Amino acid sequence: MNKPTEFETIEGLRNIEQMRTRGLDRIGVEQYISEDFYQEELDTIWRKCWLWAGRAADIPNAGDYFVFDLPFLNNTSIIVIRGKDDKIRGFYNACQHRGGRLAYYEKGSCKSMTCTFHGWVFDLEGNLADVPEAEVYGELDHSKLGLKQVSVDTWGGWVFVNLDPEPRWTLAEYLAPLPGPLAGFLEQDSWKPAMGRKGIFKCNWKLQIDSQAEGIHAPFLHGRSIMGGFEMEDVPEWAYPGSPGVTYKFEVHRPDTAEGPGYFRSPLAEAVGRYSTATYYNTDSDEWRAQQQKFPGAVNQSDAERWAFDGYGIFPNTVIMVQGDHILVMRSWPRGVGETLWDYTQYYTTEPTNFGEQMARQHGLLEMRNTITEDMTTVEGLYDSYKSGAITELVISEAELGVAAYQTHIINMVKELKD
Amino acid sequence: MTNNSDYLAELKTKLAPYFQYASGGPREHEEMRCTLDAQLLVEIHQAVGEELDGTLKILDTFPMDDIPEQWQDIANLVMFLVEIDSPVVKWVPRYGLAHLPDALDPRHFETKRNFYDLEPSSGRTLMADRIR
Repeated sequence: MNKPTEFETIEGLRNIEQMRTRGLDRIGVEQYISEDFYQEELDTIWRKCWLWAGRAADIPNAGDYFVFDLPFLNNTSIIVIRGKDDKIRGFYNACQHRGGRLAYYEKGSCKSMTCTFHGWVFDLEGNLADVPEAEVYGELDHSKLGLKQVSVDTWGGWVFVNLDPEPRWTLAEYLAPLPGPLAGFLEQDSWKPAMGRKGIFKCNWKLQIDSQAEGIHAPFLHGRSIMGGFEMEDVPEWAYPGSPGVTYKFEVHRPDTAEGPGYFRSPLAEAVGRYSTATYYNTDSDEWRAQQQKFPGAVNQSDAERWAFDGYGIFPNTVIMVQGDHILVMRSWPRGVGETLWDYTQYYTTEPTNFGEQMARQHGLLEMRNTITEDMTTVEGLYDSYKSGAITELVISEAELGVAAYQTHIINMVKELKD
Repeated sequence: MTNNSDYLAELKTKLAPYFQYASGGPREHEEMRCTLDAQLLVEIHQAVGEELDGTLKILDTFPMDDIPEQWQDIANLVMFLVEIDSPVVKWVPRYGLAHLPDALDPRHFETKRNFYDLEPSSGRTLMADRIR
């Protein structure tokens, strides 16, 4: 894999011949259904890539922590905690005496990490600080009994965990294709969570990422929700074959209409459009542009007039969508080769200040929910088609570059990360 | 528009038959939308939609988290309108259904408590309340 500044970019639109030359116009289905390949993914990608774990602002003070569980990796549990030196670290959530859990709840705060089993105490930097009834253990070398550490770093205010204590790439190298100003845009303290959902699906975890990796399905799959006439030019995308951590990028531009903002002709839709907390297609570009001015270059690099949002595939399991004042973080978690937990959380920089703004905010949340339910409709059927042998090779268009780039990257990274 | 008390009385007369469907929060509204008859949703949508502008003018004057009790049912109905707008405007006319045909039922999703809440409730070991 390349050094941080040496990533290649392939554009999808009108580029099918280059895709064909690189073998990106066809992909097999074995990587979705093979138990052996799934195990290889667990042993490589999940243990050696940077995983999108949480938000630094959620643990602002020394002793604040969140728990990052990876049940599909032999029930690995990581406690991510801010130390007295303000540094965020990650440790296996296991006392080094007999493995008792240090933290049982998703989030919390502590002065030290104390095991409830026999009272061993670890300081916020993971060092063994105290052993009650020490004499019964004989001689103990505290320096060798500190918590087992993992790699942690932050970007854009988000915390990433890598189980590899010596990661192959720094986080900065891993995320190199992301625009520099985007980090500052995302790091603002004003981002607040508004809604999060999760669900179990009977399919391979990569299918959820595929579902977000192209926009050409929108006029068909979302024709009953967004009801927009997307052209291919409305959903351009790019792939980064040389980047370990950023697989693809897409932009979504609002469908062209002479009718003004949005399509919906209901009293509610028109009322929503009058509030600053309206999301999605009910807001015209001027408002988005005002948001963009705060961090030039963070979003809408193509300077599209009808720009709605950017999306990035963050390897291996995360897709982020970034609007002017709204971000969506979606993650896919395997629970077996054919079962997945999928979650998404929406953040905004502004909070409603009156009832109407709350109403408009809720409208945006539900529109996203409706659209996502359509995306998730397909995933189990696709998996069944692959598993049953009904289809053995996927035909990929230039508008689906992200799917091919992602699946090719999966295979390449498994090979690269094998010991 | 008459003064607020008179207007409230008019609204209650018109909309009271629908208050029962709008109690609770977003999760209850989602459940109600998925279970009520489509034509009833259309009826509620029209009734509340006709009064939306006038209602918002008043509701927007109250502190967001302190809607007066006498206006709470109206506020709930407006939020229920948000849940049923897409079904009534887009799907009922096309399919006669208040849900997307051949699509995932939104109730398949659970609401997360926070960003870190990933375990589905069916797989969760029940813990006691934490000591604070």
